[in-house]
Amino acid sequence: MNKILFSFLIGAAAFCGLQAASAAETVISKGVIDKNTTWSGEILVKGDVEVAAGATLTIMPGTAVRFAKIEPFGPEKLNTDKDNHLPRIEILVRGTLYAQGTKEQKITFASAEKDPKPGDWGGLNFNSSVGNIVEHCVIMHADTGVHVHSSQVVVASNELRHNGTAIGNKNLKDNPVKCVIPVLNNLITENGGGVIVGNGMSVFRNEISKNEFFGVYGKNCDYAPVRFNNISGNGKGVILYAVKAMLLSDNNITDSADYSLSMLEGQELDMAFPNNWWGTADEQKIRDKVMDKAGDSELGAADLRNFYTAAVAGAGIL
Amino acid sequence: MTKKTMSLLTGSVLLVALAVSPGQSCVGRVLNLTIDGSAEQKAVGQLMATYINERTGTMVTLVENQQSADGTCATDVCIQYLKPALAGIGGDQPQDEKEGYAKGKEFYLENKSIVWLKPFAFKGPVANQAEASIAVPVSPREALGKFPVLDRVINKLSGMVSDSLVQEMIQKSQGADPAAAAKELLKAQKLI
Repeated sequence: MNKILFSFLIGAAAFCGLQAASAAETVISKGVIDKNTTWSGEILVKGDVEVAAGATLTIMPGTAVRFAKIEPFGPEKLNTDKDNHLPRIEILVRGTLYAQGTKEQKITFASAEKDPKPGDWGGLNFNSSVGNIVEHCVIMHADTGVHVHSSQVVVASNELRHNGTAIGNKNLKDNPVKCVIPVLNNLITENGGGVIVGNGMSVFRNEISKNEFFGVYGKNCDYAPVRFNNISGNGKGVILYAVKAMLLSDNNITDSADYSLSMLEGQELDMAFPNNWWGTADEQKIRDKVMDKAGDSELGAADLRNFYTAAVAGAGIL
Repeated sequence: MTKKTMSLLTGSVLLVALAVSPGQSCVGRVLNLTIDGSAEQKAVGQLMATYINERTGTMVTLVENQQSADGTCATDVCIQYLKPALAGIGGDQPQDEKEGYAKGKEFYLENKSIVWLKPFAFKGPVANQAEASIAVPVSPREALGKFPVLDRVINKLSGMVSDSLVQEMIQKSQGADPAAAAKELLKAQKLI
């Protein structure tokens, strides 16, 4: 084959490849999904998408969803109420979302930017919604990857990285739907913050590591189980604000840059968290990495006695 | 649109404390803290932003703006100086700083719904030493409703922010990440 023909064929192949990739991408503009819809292949989202109550959005395994970076609360937003919506593009779920990938064919949610950063898009935002599944997904570059208000969502076997905050929830006042959010077997790493735990969330067997500010943030919760997780290498392992009760046990909470456990301003109740491994069997060394009443009399006291003297075997992702 | 609002809108957002979200949802609100363009207010603002973030989990945005010096605040928190704030009230000016602070605190709460928090231990503006007076963090009552422990946190910090700490912060920030410098200083003071 002569050089000119070879060169032409290569060029043509490259051109066709580019065209095919471009043609295969489905562009989704700002709008409301009000009947059952399925996404697959390559999706580029250019404005807020709302899944209306009564409708289901199913995302097939292997689907790659990319989000354009828009002006915060600009014209591509459907909702600009800052108390319930994220500044950039969100998939707002009032109906139902099934985002179920498989171990081999994960679903990806990520920024469409060439140089992606946390907060390029808003997140999966659930509001007054039940029966949702987010499983075997890779969620990156969101403001809050999975943001839940008064909704029920299974969050299992996902990878959440490079988000502002990976996961957070709270119950809205007077909303009849109460949060039920099992967070299981996820890799939650290299985010600004890891998991904000409000009422109705349970956090089991996750790898929560290398998050800049915190691994787990207990916030305004009356009860929340956080068990059998590896919470390692975060700025602060666990932080607490206005928590009345939390079952924090059987975790490995190690290698935090600042504190293993920090009571924030407003955490006035004493808390006991026995049965965790804090990375050392030396009680003084454990206490050295705690911010509580001992350092500030207005804070509650953290009782970490009855700690494990070795790492919890079997904690983390199964 | 009022001049104050216009001025606020044209003010530039300086930086965002990185710790939690780049934007922020209601899982945690964003607090806007206004500073003027002076080196000392940039330093104090960064110390406040880092401390508030570390101790409350709230993300703080510093908004650089030539705000009105009349003792009020159009965002969530501002840094005012006692003398110009009292001048805005009119009448006799107390010579004693404590008396002046008490007068201003009462006036702005009753007439403008602005809460004067515990004053800092530094004086400014530094550029005009003859007129320098104690710096006071002020916050609209409505903002304190949105951020329930904000007053407590700022009051804990206020007494620690002295002229020498501000100068140290200015020096440490030169050619370095101001947030990292603030964190280092606050750690050394055992505040975080």
